[in-house]
Amino acid sequence: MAAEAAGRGMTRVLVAIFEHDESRGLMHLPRLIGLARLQDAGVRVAYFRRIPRDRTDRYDRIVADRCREMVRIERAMREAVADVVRAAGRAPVECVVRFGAPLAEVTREAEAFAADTVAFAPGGSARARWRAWRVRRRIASYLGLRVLMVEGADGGPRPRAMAMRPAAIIDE
Amino acid sequence: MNDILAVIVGTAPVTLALMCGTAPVTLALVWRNAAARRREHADTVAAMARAAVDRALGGQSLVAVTVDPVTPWAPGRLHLSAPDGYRQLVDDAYLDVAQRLPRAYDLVIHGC
Repeated sequence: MAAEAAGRGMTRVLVAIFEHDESRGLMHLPRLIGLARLQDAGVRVAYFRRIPRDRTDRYDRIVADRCREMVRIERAMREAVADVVRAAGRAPVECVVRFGAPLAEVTREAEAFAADTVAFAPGGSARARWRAWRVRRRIASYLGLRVLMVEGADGGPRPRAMAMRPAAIIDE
Repeated sequence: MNDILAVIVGTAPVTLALMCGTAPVTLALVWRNAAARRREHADTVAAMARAAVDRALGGQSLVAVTVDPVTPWAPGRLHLSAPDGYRQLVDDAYLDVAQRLPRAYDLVIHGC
């Protein structure tokens, strides 16, 4: 059975960042890039987002149409990715921004890049987990594509912070 | 011929009731059997992954390997995790695991 065959090394890794998960995606970006470059894999960072709406003012006048919005979003994401990669001391990576249905775009981009691995870091919200499940299901139907995910420390809810009170000083 | 037909028609309600009565048990057994097979395959994958981790790191390590079996609605998941401060161990071992991981499984790395 093809799906049961053992995999190969990862040679082309598509690092996906999804809408509403930008902060988490950017936070894990250096690690994902580092994991991919451990084996000299080609890396492309792709940001997937729905097509934005026109921006209007309070009088419903369009102040920025969706094309300008897309240009602004793309520029902002490229700068954010470049800043994160630079701050982590890693070599620059290719970054693309794709607008449309994220689920369809991620498979389209994986085909265009000839990726064998799609890496992403889903957030902990229900929406993010639902999207991650759909992405996994979609990618599982593509032969030769594999998913690499980075999740929280233990996969469960984040541990609560504990406040410690300093010990009381007892005067003799 | 009519007698045989009469017997069949006469026992049809009993047969139908028997089938309906045993169907839940039969379905549960079939479901548990399939789940046990998936779990068994997942355990095999976990053993392979643990061997790969041990080989990559040169012995037993703090890297934990857990496997969620493949289900009809989602591919399986192989989790690699390590305590805080030992994340580098996962990074060092993940490549060997990824190369041996079956296609039906996703690789999940923990730690943020």
